[in-house]
Amino acid sequence: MVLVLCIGDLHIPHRATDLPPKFKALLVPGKISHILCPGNLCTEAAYDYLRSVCSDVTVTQGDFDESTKWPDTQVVSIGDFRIGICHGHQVVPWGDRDALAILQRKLDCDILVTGHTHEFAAYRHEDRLVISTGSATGAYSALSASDGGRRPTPSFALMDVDGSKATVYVYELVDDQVKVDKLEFTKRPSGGCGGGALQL
Amino acid sequence: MRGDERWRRHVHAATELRAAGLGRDAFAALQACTPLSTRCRVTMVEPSYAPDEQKAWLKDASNADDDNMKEALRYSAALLGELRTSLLSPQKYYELYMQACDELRNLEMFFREEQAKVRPHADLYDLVQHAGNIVPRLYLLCTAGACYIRGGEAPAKLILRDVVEMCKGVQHPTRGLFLRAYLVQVMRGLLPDTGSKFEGEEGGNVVDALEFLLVNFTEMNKLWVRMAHQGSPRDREKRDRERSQLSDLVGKNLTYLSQLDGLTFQLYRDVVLPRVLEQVVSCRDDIAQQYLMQCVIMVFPDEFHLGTLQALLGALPQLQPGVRVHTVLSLLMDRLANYAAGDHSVVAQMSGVDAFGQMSGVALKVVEQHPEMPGADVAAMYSALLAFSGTVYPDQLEYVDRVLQTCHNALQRRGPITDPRAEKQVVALLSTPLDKYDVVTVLGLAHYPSVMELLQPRVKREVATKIVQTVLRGGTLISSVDQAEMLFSFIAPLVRDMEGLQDELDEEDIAEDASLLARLVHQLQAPGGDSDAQYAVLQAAQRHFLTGGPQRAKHTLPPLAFAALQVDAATWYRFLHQTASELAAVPAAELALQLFLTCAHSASEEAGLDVTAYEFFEQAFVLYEESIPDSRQEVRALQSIMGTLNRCYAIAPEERAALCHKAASYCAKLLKRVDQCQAVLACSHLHWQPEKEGKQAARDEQGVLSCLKRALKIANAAQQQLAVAAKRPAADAGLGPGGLFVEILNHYLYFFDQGCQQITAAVLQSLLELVANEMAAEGCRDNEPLQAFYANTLAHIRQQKAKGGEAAARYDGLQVQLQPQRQPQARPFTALRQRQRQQAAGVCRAAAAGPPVDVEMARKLLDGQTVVLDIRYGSQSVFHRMPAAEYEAGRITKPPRRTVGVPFAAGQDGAAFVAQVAAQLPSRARIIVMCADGGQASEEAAALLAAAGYESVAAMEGGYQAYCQVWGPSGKRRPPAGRWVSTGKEALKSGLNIPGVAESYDEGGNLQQARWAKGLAPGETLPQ
Repeated sequence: MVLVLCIGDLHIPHRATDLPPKFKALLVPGKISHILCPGNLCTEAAYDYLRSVCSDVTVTQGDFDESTKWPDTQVVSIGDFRIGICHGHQVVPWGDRDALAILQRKLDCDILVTGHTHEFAAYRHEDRLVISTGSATGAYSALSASDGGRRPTPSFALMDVDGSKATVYVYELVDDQVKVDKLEFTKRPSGGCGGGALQL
Repeated sequence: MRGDERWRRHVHAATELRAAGLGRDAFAALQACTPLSTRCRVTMVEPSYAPDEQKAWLKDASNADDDNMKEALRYSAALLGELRTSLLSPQKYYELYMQACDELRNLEMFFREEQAKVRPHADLYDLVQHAGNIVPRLYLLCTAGACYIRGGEAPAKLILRDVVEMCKGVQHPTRGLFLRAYLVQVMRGLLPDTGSKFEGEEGGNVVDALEFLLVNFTEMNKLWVRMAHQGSPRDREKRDRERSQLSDLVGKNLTYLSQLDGLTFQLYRDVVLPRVLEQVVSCRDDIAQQYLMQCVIMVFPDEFHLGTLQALLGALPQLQPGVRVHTVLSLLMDRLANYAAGDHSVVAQMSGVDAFGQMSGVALKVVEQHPEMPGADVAAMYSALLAFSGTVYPDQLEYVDRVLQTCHNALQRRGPITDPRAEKQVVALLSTPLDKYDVVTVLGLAHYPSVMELLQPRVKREVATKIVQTVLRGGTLISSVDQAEMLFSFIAPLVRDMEGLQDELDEEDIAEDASLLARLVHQLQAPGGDSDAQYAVLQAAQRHFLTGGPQRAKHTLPPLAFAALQVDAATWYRFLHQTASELAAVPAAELALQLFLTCAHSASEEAGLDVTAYEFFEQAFVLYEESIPDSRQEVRALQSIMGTLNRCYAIAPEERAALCHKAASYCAKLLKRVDQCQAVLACSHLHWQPEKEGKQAARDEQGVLSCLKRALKIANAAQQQLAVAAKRPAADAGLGPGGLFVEILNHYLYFFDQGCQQITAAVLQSLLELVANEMAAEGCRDNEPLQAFYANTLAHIRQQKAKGGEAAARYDGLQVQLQPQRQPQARPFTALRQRQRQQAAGVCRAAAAGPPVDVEMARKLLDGQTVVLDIRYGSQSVFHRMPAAEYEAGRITKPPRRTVGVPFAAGQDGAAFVAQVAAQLPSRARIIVMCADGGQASEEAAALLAAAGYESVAAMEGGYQAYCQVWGPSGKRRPPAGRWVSTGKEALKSGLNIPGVAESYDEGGNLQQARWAKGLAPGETLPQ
């Protein structure tokens, strides 16, 4: 059993002062074994914060990151899963399921962790799981602003990987209350290239 | 006894020597000359001051049940006589005292047993007074007295009064102190306290107990103070240290006083406190006053202090100048603040006695009376006062202001604050109200800035940091221009370079300050979404930030822009434009570019301002062209441009077309082919916007297709470039150029799924063949990620087919083997034929434009089952036959056994030639016909063979000449002639502007035109 934190698009200090205090209280050091961050930490300070939660942090390049040292895509293996990470601003059209599917086929990963849309999403696409982490700070995004003018909901995902089974816990901050959702994803045992059933 | 006296002296001497820090040798020498030293087991490790032997005798004596009382007393007296010494330092004396106390406990037990044998305590009380020396006598008297009281034979109050008076007989400070310490220790359980069994008519009541303790306290304090005046002034420091160690002995009296059950508030107020304070004030000793005042505050309960505040505070200004009154006062204030925090009814009581007024009055008086008091202490005292008023009166802001005012007055007289300790205290003083009250309100106080002005610039920055941190932590909103201006005036050291601070800050510090400011921006919020007020606040912030210089602006401007973006008002774009432009001037081109794009997106989608959006794009493009420093950032910027442009619906079609065209032109200028190809693929989406409710999505199939074709061309060129460089893709290079083909296939599939009519199943089919071919090629076969990508893509097609419905129906036309091919040799000619057929449909490769196979392709095919039909010898003319030797020397031998030589010349008899070929090659053979120069002969021969029933025949473009220019006799690619730079673009980027190189560059990687293919020497120019 391994806890994997998927958190991204913090945009501190560009678009937010800090993580919501309720999220900060949840992210205590010592429990999480991997952090996957699709990008847009913006400053080194935010990266250092993640490092303080867990030393194993995998980051990819976001479009507003101050440093350009991160790679565009990364693939890590956790449990039986190959997990691909990419910020997603490189994938045109942004947030498009079919376009992301191309990336997922390219990275050959069972789970794809992306961001950029500032809107949480977790869905199965052709037997693979896609997680869009949303913005952990609920940072402004022109994407969601143009879709009805609301502020994005702060969110992140915690994935409990156990062999070929992954349970995704979705943490969202709705009206200053932390709301948790759960969904499960199982990898088909035979398949080398992913697949499985998603139960919501 | 004489012997005892002797060695005892030695022991003392030895102890003293040791105390004085002399070495082991001196001590050993002393031991050696002592006859009894072996018996007394004095070791260096564990000192034993009391003579063991006497202890043993005492034990024997007390154990003996006969009339050994006298003996016991005698030996006890002798033992206690040790305490008469004046040689020991207080600490050593204390150790000796502890050992004596242990023995006295034994003695006490003995006395009790004696009493059981009908020896009245009264006798004992008399008997012990026969001891010869006063010190042992009084110790014994205390012990006996304790037994006397405990036995209930005598009224406690009489004995207590007697003993405490008798103890006056010892006036040596150390000896007296310890004697009295012993006295309170043995008597503490025997006091006639309220409720104790010793209380009564005769035994007295709590007043007597108080009296005893107070007298003893007074006497002890006098002795303690007297200690300061003993010995030479040189050792004063050492003596002070020793005295501090003894402070607890004196304090014990106060502790026992506070523990009396009968101590009521009246008694405390009327008896205890006045006498204690009188003693404290009159003793005129720094150490004693400091310690005792703190002790009084610590041991007695809070409500007593509150009731006697006036008396307690009244004593403070009378203390000696050396006393740190501020620590005493802070201690009191902290206690009272905690008390008030725990119980709210107390607050009213405090207001009743005007606790704050009294305390600030005392503080003022203290400061006035001690003009030499250091600034640090003044600040510490006032910050304690602030903490007190913050806790007790959380809504009384004028108190804070008053404190700051008096503090300012006090500090101002002491000049600018430079002492680090004072600085620290003033910072603490200024931070205290920030934590207790609303930040904005505190900053609005009249005297806050004046105190801050006293600080050095460096410390001001520290305070500014604290202010910002407090605002951030508390989530305080800065809601008006006035507030913002005020805040910025306080945090000026963070906002801009300050006089006298520039040299102290390095880049990192400035970045730290600026990112703190950046976070602050989000607290600038006008209430209720009032956009005019918000505009004014942000403008004020912008004005301040722009004075901070580029190093800060880099960090502070982006948040400002995002804050502005979140306001729903069309008038904002001017402000945004200005902010982003300032950022571009910093220069932080990349960030500015991203900002322009975000603004463009917002302008187009949120506000629907097409012209504004276009302008923003233009700005972004200008930045892209002029200011993006390196190639990786170019790629990133272009990705964002494509993504944003894809999402913008509001821009008018012509303008949009112009932007797309511009963006497309950037693709070709990227450094790496892989990047070029991916950018072109992204570019294809500019012609195919996703459907969106209420928006007109731009859809241009022709545009999509031309982008995809261009991508194919580039992928092909990339493949060739890799081959030219004659290196395999490095293991860590990822997918390599082969990946581009699969990616292009995926994009074709994407648009196919999306319903792009120009991409038909036939087009897909030929592309699939092409990709299958590529995947089977040498460079790609072993590339696992690439093969996985390919397999995933095929799996995707299978899934689409299996889906059913309309989408799957389109796939029905697709007749392809949907397995990754491991046997590629069977396919090329089919692919070739199909490419010829599909040419009109749109899929094509740059170098294989016509039916003939180019040398690159030929070489690839030769690795499979294909053979070369070499018709050269004889091809020039019938009259000029190539000698067999020449043919043998020059024919293509790598790969081996792939060449069949049958001479043929244009216009020759076809039948004979076909017959000759048929003798050597079956009709199903795949044949490339090669003549010397790729002229008519090969085409004619190919046509003849095709007519004769050969299924797969093609002529080689350029013939033997072309082949040999590219491929060496070993089958390897020939290195390019001269100094080779792979592309003109790279040459330009690397700064080598070789004339003609740029012109020779062709994005298709046209081999015919490439400089090296012409074999030009460096410096030569290409023929025009």
